[in-house]
Amino acid sequence: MKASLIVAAALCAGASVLGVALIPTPAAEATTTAPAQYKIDPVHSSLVFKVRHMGITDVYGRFNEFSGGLSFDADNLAESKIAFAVEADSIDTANGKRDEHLRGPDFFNAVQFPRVTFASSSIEKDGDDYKVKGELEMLGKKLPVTAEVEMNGTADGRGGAKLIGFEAEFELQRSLWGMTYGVGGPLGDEISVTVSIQAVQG
Amino acid sequence: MTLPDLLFGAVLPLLLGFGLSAFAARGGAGRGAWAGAVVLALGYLGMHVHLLGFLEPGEAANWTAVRTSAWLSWLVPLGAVLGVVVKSQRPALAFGQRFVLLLALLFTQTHPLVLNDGWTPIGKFVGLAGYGLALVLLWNGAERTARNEGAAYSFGLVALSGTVAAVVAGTSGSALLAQLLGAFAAAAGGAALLGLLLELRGQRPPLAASMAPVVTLVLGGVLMGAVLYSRTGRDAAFLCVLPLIVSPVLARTALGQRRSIGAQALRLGVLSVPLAAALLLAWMRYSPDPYGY
Repeated sequence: MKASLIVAAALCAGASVLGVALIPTPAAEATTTAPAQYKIDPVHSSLVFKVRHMGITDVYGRFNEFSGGLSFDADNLAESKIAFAVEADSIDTANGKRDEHLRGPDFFNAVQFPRVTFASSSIEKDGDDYKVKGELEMLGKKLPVTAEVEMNGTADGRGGAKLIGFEAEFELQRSLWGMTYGVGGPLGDEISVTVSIQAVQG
Repeated sequence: MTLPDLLFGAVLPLLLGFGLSAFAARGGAGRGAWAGAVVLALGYLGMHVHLLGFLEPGEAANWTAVRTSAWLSWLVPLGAVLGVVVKSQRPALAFGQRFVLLLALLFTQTHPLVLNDGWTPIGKFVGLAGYGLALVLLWNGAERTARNEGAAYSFGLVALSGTVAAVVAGTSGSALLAQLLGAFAAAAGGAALLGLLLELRGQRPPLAASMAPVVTLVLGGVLMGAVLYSRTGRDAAFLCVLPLIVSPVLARTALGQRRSIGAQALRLGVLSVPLAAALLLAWMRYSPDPYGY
């Protein structure tokens, strides 16, 4: 009896020592916690763009299919990142013939280059907003772009899932990727892109 | 279309075709065989570089990511050198040697088919075989036509095929490929005009003799791109090159034996029937103004 008590006491003491060792201190948590992982919710996200036509009007379009994810922690931006892929074939400017032309070799060449991708290389605080730098790959060419990102906040979704929402804006000069059709003529070279993302944690 | 587009796509190739052919013809009878390859290659490359730039080695290193048509900035000069070298060999290269060169060029040209993710392995094999056969037939037709016919007829046929191919590519979804083919056709047109003037003066220098590799690369290559990456139908594309393929066959008929300018014009008229069919197909399938939306 005495021996079993001694063994039990020893086990409890060992467990408590081990437990203390396993529970991270607040300081350790701040340095080791990985940013939360989120998956882009395509139903509540949009990717729209505009291009100047004839120098007088902005024509808008969107991509209906894209996917991606992000890991984000406002206190750990060094390890935060975002990546997404856009299906070039899903371009939609509300005109079927124009969309066919946009999918072809003059623009996205979607058969040979089915995806446009973006992967961040750094996220920095910029006042109340963020500045995301990364590489945009289009038509087989990777070039750097910088997006201004406004964080809209977080919310609890269905089943208590954590949601995060933000909007990113950036401009690109499409001819740098070799998409030169109409540049110097009726179509502008500058494309303004707005990405409105809702992402679900998990 | 901008002013530079017009310059590089029509005016300069036309002048180049005419001027360079005139320069080549100064050598007299039996000279100037290099003109065909050089004129067509330069006429095409001017527009290619204007629209797409020259494929730099750094970009080419990532070869799976290179736009298919971009390879032509390397292949067309190679084809021109090949055309000139083959024609300048004395004695002429053996059939086996020419066949090996042809296969090497065709494999390089058709490599994008292997990279196409949308095709099954069997599809890739069938595609390679089909496109390869069509390109061999095109090479053979262009080679025989250039060897047996005058510059006016040979360049004229290339100009006709190139013009219709440009319209078909443009109508079915790619202004870029249409402009590339248009510049090529303009260069051939300029050379055909010079050939016609010489023929009217009783001269028939073999100016087109070296054109086959460049014709195969540009006409075959750009149309292949239009079929694979745009909406151009295989049938319409094949009809665009059919006149060059069957031209040697027509040359064996009674009409083909006659050398008068009228008879040559009539033959070109006969060979334009498939081209008219290609235009009709493109017109029926796609609206006449694809970019007006």
